[in-house]
Amino acid sequence: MTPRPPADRRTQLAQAAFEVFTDRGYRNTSVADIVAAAGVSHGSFYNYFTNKREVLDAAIDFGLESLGPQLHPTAEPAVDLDGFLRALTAPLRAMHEFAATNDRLISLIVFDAAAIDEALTNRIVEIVDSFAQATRHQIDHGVAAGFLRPGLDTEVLSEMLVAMSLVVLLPAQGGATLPGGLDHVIAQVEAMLRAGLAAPA
Amino acid sequence: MLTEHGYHDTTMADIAKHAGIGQGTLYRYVPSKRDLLDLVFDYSVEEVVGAAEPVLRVDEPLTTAAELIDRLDAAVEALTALFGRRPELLALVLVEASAIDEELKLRVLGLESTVVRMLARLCEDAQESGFLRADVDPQVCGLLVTKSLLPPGLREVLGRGDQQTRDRYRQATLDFFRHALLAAEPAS
Repeated sequence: MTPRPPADRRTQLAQAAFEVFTDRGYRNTSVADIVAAAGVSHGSFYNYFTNKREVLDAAIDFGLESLGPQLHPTAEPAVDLDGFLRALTAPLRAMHEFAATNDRLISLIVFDAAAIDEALTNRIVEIVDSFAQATRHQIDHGVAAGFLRPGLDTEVLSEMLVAMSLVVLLPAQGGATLPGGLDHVIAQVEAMLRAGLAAPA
Repeated sequence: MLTEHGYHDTTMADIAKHAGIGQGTLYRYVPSKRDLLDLVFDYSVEEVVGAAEPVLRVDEPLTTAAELIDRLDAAVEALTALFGRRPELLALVLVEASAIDEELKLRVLGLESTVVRMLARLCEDAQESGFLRADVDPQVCGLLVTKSLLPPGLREVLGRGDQQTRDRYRQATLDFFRHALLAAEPAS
């Protein structure tokens, strides 16, 4: 991740919060840590945020803006089955690499979100939903273009595929290593998508 | 108590009172609220695994490809029935979320890997019987099928589950895996 030059003080604080949260976890971080990392005064923090919980939202926005695009399937609809499979599996590698260097953020999202509050849980559900929308867009297009099977429940399927892609985060969650390694898992997902979704030849 | 009032708002005194025992007696069995949550968690895991396992692990070898899908379906149905009967098991997920620490994280991951192992075994059996595509890796398959159950599971935890939605997820999931995993029917 390349840190961007802060556009303004608020972004500067959000970026610092993102880095401190992902480095030490939400609970182990105080407002004092964030202002120290941002190199601003305590007083100026409270010009922008009322508390730690509020800067968390800004930190998540910051993280998504700088890292989100490569984690989504591309918005450009694929023209054939191979392009479709590439579009859907490319984020797996990006997610895995992202998770390997940001395991605290994954832990924050997977484990801590529900503990922090309901608003954050809903926020995470929305983020996952935006991934599902991008996936659905690709599937809908594939059905319309005729290279995917007709009659797919694309809404449910896209949620399911996003959930399945979380498998590449497993090592970052503290879970087992991926059986056979990342390339093998991606190849398996690709083969499953091909068999599961392709229109009959 | 924990699922009704939440982890942080329940005290050991509340629990002892609810159980009709003295606090001293409670502490003799469970040293802390955290230990109690671990006990409840382990107990719930046993119930969940107990509901799914007999359906998935039948000693009879699979005789048709459709049976693999039927077993998956039956396991999901057994779980749905269990959660319908015992909604507090799902509520516990949220209780845990507010008491999460490293150790509980490991327990949750442990539960996930138990489910993965059960499904991987089922995939292995199916592959041996020739119903699963030969190039499917049963271990990866177990992982992916487990993850695919997350969205409907999350819906239930968030209290957004209803019969129609459940049926829809079930149909879409089974339809996908039927195509994605089963070996092509031999031409008859």
